[in-house]
Amino acid sequence: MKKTKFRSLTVTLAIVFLALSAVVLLIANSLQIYFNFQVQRDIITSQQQFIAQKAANTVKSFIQGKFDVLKTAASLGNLANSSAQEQKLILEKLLGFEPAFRQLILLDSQKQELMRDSRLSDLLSLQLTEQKEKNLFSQTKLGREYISSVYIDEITNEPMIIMAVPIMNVFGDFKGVLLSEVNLKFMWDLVGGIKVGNTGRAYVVDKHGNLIAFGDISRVLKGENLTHLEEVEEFVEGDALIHKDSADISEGIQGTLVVANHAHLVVPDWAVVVELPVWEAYKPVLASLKLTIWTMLLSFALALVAGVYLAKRITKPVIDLRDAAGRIGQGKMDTRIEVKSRDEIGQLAASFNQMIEDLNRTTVSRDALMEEVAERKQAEKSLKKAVEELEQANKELKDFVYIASHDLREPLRKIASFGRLLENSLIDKIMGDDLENLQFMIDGATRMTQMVEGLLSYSRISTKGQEFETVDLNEVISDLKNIELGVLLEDSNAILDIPEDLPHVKADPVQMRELFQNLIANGIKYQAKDNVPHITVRTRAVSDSVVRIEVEDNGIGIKQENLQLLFTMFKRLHSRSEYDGTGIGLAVCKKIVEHHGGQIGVESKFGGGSTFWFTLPAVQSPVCTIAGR
Amino acid sequence: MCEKISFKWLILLTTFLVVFCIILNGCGKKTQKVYRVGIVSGAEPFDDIADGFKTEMVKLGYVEGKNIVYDFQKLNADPAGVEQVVRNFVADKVDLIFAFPTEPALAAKAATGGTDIPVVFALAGIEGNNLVESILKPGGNITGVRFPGPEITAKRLEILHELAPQTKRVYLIYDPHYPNASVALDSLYRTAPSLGMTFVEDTVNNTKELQAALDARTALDDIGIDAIFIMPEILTQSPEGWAMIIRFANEHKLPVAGGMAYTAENGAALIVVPDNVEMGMLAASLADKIFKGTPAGTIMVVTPPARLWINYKAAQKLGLTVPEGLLNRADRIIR
Repeated sequence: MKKTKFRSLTVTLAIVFLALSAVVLLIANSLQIYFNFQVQRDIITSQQQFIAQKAANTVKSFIQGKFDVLKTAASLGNLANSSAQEQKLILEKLLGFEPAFRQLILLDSQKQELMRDSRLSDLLSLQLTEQKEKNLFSQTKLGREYISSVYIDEITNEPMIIMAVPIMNVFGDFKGVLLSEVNLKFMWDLVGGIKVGNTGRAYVVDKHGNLIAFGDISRVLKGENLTHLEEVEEFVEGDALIHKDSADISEGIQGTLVVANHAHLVVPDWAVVVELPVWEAYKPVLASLKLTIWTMLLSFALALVAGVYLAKRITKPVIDLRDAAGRIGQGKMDTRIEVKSRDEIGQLAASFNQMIEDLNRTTVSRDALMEEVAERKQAEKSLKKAVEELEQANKELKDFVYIASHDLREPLRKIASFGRLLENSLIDKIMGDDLENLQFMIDGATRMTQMVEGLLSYSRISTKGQEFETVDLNEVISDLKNIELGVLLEDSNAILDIPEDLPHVKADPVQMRELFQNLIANGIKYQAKDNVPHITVRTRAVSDSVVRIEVEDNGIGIKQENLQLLFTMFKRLHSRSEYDGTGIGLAVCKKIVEHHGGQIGVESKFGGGSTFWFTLPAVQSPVCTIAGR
Repeated sequence: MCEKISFKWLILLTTFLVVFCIILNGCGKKTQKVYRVGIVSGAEPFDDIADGFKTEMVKLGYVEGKNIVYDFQKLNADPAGVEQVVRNFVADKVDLIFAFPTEPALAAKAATGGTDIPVVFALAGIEGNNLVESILKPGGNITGVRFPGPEITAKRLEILHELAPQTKRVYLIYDPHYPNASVALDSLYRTAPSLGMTFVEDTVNNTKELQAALDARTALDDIGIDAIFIMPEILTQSPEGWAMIIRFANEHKLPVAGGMAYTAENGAALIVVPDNVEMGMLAASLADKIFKGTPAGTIMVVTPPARLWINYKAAQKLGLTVPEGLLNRADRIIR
């Protein structure tokens, strides 16, 4: 038998239980975390929108504050037409009032510089004049405020913007421009002070994605461009007015994963971006996740213990059964399983114990069984040998009878023949006892010959028989009447009556003739003196495959006590003086019938005739065969 | 067999759970590092830069005695002393050197060459020397808060002109070896003509020479100067040096365009200078970045805002009328 790898049922059951528990736990907790996450995302989105808008307002206020100061100064008196001293004083006052102003320039309506004041030395204040071009005038002429894009100061690398307001007289005529260079560094404190959660960040970018305000000043001073950040890119490339609010996770300004949102200032065209590190934004979710993991681990451990316990509970009786079966296999018939549970396993164990008890009660030991089997085998062997010896002896006996009878026949015939020749030649010369003795001798030899022939035909029945064939018994009787029994029937005036057709049988035709000859001849022979023999041959169906033939005579009958002796070889019920014979005929008949698988018997009433019957195998469709030919 | 397998599984799973718990809970806590910072101040007027630094460091989570210790070395315009101090810092393997103003910063840079000790400077001129490669990327293992010399030196002269328009001859007395001198002179000489000013120069190497130079000028019939302009260097701003200068100025009723806050508080008519405490605070944020792993050489140099101080009392003593606009622009008026 192929040896298969052992797989522990306990482990399998435990793993299955564990896997099922794990799947259920995972699904339940995943759903919980997912919904938690959704809720938290909505909360973060709202919070960040609020913070971003607030921050945007702060930055906007900063810019608006500067405009307000400039507009107020521009509307004081007739700034464009006042004396240089007055103009200088106003500009100096403005510089003193607002630290974010680095330079202030007053231009007339022809773009000519009227006055300048700067925190820088005059040596360094020249670059601002380049900003006078572009669309500064086109905007301020229309009475609009102007704000430039952010540029980096060459000396300090600080981000600057130009803010300008128009100077109008009371009639609304354009008289000049008050222009200021504003250092955005002063906005940093505002932005740096914006609280976004505990560790969140806020920063301001312009429409090109350049960082203009952030807690980490050096990064602003470097003039970093942040368009690579998703939220900044969304602002730079997106429609300013349509902003999709979401708290998506993306890379933040610090290179870490954050949840970001932004608010657009519109004027100036900047945006405040607020970022909250993912771990802080989703802290409640993470806390819930942590709790869930702990719960899951605990549940997993419990499921493991429960799984192992249950698996063991289920498999332990099975293992006990296995072990007990093993011990019983080793011959330990006193093995029993301890039955604890009251479930199916308990019933199985109880049945197993019962089985062992029954086994102990109803069987002998294996050794005893083996001994008995050995004895029986020996006996069978002996029997077979005896049968073989017996068959050999029987064969030898049959051969002997045949050979003896065959070989004896010739000398006996010679004794009888030559006895008769001697009697014919000595008939006149001897008399009295001698003649009688000679006649006894001849008679004896003749009878001896008859007996030997009888024996020979008896032995031939089984040794020299022909193949069975379909025999028409009517033809057999007809032939006997004409040939073998013709003389006898005629001499005895016997009547052979066959009231109806006889059947066809499967038989040796020669032996059939001998059978009927013997039985009919006996019926004719054993008659009371002067009684005309009347022999009736009839048939009687027994079954589809067997026929029964009866030969009835009106002879002397047989005494009941002799009925059993009739078919014995050489058994004669009468002396030779009464009825001549060898005592072989009926023995031959019996052997013929038995050779054909049939039975033979006699029913008789002493003095009232006898009926000899026998059975033979029948044939369904008769095929005519001429018997003995 | 089956029992053995289950037991093995149990042990494995338990081990896994324990390890997982440890990872999840972060059982292995890091021991807190204590930073050692060496601070070197070139002269007393700059000492409050360290105060600003320490105050800001506390805000950033570095509490003195808990997770940070300072070795604060105060010098008095002693170039040799500076070199010794920074060498000692290097030998002590401090985690960071905070040096101010220019000369100690240069000394710290030189001493830490070949080591991995970062240097943060304050009030150091970066022009005309090799302290940094550029403002954007200082390079090496150094960064800091610069002294905005080019922006404010000329401006100081312009304001002196506003305050004392009659001033034609401006006295420059300074240590010529101090690193910022040439840069300042360049600015001054380019500005002066437009203001109708000329310079009278005296170079000195120590306070003794300083006093001698001042005495020599006093001895002259005409001292030949209308105002004194303090150069961005240490010698004239050290307590001893400054005392000589202000005494000389008062004797001769000369307005002084001062340097550090200390000078304005002690008689200078005006100063245009970054605030010491503010610079210290800016430097602290740089140190924090370095401690958090950013290489110093990649952190941009910070420019502090310049503050205008007017010593109204001193101006009045000198009989000067301070223009209203100037007073309006002043960040501080000393009365």
